[in-house]
Amino acid sequence: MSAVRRSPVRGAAPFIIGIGLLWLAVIVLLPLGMVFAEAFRKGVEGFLKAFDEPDAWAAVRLTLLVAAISVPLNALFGLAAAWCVTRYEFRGKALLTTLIDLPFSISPVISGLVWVLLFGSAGWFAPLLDALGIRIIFTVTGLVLATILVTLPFVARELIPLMQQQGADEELAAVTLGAGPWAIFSKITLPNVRWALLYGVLLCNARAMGEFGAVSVVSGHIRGLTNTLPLHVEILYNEYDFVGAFATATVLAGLALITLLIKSLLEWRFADELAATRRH
Amino acid sequence: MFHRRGLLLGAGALTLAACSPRSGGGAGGVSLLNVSYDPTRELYRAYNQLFDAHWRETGQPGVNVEQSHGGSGKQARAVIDGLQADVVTLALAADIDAIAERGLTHRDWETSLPDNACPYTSTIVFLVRKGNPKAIKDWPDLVRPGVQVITPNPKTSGGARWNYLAAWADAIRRPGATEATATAYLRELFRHVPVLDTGARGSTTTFVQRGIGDVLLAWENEAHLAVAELGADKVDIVVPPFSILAEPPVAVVDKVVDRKGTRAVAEAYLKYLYEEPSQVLIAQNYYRPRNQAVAQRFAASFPQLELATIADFGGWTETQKKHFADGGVFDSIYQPSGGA
Amino acid sequence: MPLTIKNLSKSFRGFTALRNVDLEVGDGEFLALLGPSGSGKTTLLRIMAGLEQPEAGSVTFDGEDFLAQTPRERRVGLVFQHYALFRHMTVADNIAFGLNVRPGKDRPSKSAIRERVAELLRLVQLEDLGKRYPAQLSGGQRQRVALARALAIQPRLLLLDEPFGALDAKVRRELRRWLRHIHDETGVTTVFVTHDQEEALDLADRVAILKDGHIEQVDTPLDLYQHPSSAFVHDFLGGAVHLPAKVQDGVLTVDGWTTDAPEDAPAGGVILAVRGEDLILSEQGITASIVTLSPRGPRTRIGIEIEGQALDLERPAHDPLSKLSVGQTVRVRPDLIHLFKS
Repeated sequence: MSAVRRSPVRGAAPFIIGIGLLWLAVIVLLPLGMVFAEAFRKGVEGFLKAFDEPDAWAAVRLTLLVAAISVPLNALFGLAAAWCVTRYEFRGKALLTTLIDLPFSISPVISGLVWVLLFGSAGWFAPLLDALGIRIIFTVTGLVLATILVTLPFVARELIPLMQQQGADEELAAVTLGAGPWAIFSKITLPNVRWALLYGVLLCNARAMGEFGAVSVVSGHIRGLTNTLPLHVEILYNEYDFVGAFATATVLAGLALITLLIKSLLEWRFADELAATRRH
Repeated sequence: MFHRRGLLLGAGALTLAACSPRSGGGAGGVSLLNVSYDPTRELYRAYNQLFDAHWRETGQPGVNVEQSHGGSGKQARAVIDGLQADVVTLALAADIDAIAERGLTHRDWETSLPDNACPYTSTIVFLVRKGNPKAIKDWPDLVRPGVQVITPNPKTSGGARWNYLAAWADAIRRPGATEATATAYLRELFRHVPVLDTGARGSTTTFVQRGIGDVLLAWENEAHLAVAELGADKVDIVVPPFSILAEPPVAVVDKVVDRKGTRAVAEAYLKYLYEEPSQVLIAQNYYRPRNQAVAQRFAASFPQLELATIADFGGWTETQKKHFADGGVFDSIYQPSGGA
Repeated sequence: MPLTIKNLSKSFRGFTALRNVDLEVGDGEFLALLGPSGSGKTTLLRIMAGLEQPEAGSVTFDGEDFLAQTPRERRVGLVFQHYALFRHMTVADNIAFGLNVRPGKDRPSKSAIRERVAELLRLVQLEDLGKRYPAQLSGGQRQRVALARALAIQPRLLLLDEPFGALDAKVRRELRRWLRHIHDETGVTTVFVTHDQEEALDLADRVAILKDGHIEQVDTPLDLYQHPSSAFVHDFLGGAVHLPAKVQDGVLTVDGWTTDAPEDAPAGGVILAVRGEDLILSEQGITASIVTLSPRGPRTRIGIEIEGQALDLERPAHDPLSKLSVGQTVRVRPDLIHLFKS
């Protein structure tokens, strides 16, 4: 057995790992720890007081509702967009991919403002909406639209590179074996991308629950009606209820941790399958 | 196959089921939306209960008032963009003027209610560190060397505009004062401002929580609230001998109430602010009540001082154009990079 | 003739992949489509499979218009170069797929499907691997599963797109033999795409040579080799050099060497195409120089140069050519003369 070759990078490995961990600790763990510390500054009682308020629960329900609507819609869109982009050639494909990435490059505030410009009282569609008696901005509908826009790219961006790399061969094989479009989609395409889909959905969900800028613009801030959790945190902070603000923030952090936990559980449970698909 | 999406859809369904529609204050009740500015949260939370009780006593079904709070200008903007406010209770007449200009409410809204449609007033005071170590008593003290002043940005905050005008009003009444000296005073004042927050609450947090600055220019009611919430052991209120009468007006938004059919309730809602029980509530929240009898009762909370008014400035339209519009006086005296 | 293709044309964005292709495949025949990259053979196969639609022309199978049928109606089995096995399904599920997706009334019972899968696993000699996943199989095993999957639906036509291209040489040779054996057992009409002429000539009943989207020649391997219809076909089926020559009055002249021209030789300027295996040492002949000489046990590889063109030959170690040395100049003449109009 030949001697192990010592690469110059190997010696540096602990140092580089150390820097990485330190960075993570400072940027992520420290603030997260502060949030929890501040939330319990007045003890468990003080923490629980934040949830005595009906407005807090309304905010939790609203956040879950908005996420429950936006995330599945964006998952469907992501699947459809990834399918189009990776399986077909058509004029404007590059434009579509650019548009999908657009919400990433523009400020979330703009993502909110565009809806106001379109559907606000002074907006493009105002006469039509007025005539039909439909209200979009400053209602839950507006919140959902704003959230959909900012979380649009997440699922698509996870799926597109994977589906590109996997190629269409399996689906073509299924065609020749006589499978119809739905069978191809449900038995071939979907199972092949399900982990990327899951990951994209998780990212989408995290962002949907935590979005502040875009939602703030279209919310109207009506207490107990159009304030999501992040907006509610801001309100509490502005009322000098710092413990309450951080306590509510821990709920947001808690929701994020739960989704991560579910993901880990699923990965552990289906580890074998995961390995089999990854190796290909 | 266990699908994450399935889980979310399930959660969504449960959530939808759990989301019971907001009841409008009892069977057949009415719902109003009051779009207000930042500091009035506590006031309207109490007032809404008071009004609901009163309205029921008159034999009417209950009233559920939803509240929205934010920076005054931002809220006005939201109403213009379609926020369905039945009533607006904002920080400056200029903000309601903007709403009237769009035809959402009638142009002479100010005459619809007594006292220029302002059921309560406030003024600008100083909030200083406990014991007032820098001995800040009056407006000229603010520009003494070493004194740091906290105020929000007049471009974004209604309260900050009142701050600015109070400072100007004081400067211009000094013996030998001219526009030039007033401008110079304000330029110097803003040089003493280390941090320019976008809103009143932000400035208060900067001053009290972050401990920046020696004096905070604030609404009187905000100052009292800060003391109550953040510690009477940390800060003191100093009322200068001269300040400005800040008149936060209220109005009904005609377009909305006519569409919703809530005009009667909305008008009653605002009118009731002038009645004695409401005025007591107003005084308890540290707003200066219009009702003289109530004002007397709470005289201890509200020191007497000389007050200028917006009329001295020629009204809000003039003032906006001259001072706060792009290219106005404020733009000329404040460059973001300049700081004490 | 079961599969009849007439006048088929197909372009992709300005690039002509196929032009005026005519082809007939007999019942139970094993036909190879052979040609260089870009010759259109894969496009032709995909049109047969129903994955592409031509711009012009017709494809009929047993008298039915193929182009008007859905892939399911066509009952065509397709085997891909990179297997295209369903990675998240077991081998058994892969094979059963075509049967499982049949609509209710056409679908066989669960036990019937199980039986068929077992039968096919036996056929492709993978009996114990039904429960494995594709990732756990070797390349050769995967290709066999792919074939079993294609055969499960009892196709009328079996299409293979360079099925052994991704495998190493030894496995390729084994599978080649095995594929022919399967074909003979099942008797299904088979069309097979490859760019490896050895493979095509080894396996097929007939070979169609394609160049630039058009079929140059269709014949049995032997006929193609012995009677190529063009210089291209001749060259494609074995390295050759092309020497300018002249035929006049029944005499063939090339590089100073003369010989009797074959009876059907074209007159005037011609191309003499010469394969390495046809050359023999001779007193009278064409000048050739030895460039490389590599003895390899029983055989020797010789690299020669004729009129500036390189040619590789292989000879037994005892052959006179093997006993030459590098740099030597000799005279050679072709035992078999192929002439084409220049």
